[in-house]
Amino acid sequence: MNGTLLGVYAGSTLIAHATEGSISLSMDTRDATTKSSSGTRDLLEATKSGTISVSALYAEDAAYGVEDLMTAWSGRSTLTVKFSTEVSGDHYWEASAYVTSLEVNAGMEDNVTYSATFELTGAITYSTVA
Amino acid sequence: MKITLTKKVTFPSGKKLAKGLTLEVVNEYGRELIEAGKAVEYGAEAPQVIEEQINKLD
Repeated sequence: MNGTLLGVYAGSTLIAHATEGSISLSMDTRDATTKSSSGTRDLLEATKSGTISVSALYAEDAAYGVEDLMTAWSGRSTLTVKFSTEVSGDHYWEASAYVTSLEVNAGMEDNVTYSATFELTGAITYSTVA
Repeated sequence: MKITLTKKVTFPSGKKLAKGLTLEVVNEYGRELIEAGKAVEYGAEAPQVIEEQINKLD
């Protein structure tokens, strides 16, 4: 699959002018090692979590861009984030999320870029595009 | 889904987007906007509204 096809959608809208997108899922574990573990570590399941990140070029007129991310961040509100191709039959990830990181970079004679991280909260849906 | 707005639309986030703007949205929301007559699929022509002209006779 061509990575260009996978985009990060926030509140139904594709984050415009993206150059990178990623999802990272993890699960914590509980140490259940005892004297009966014969010297090896025993683990039990704990909290699952995930983040979706995006990097993009900054554009004032973006349909969804820094202005919208600032609104979500300053309002400390959740929004629905989807990592998807939106091609029927392809898999996607979707969850509610908080904007927990937003960084804008402006180098001399270079594109203004930004990156944002969405910390997922609640159930993480992994399904196929209808 | 890539769509072009045919009317000014207020998105669920509260943001108002202007008529004529082309953007990509999730398929479900795109279909919702198209069915509501607020957008067309990118590349498609907006439906023409035929206004009846009333001839007034003096």
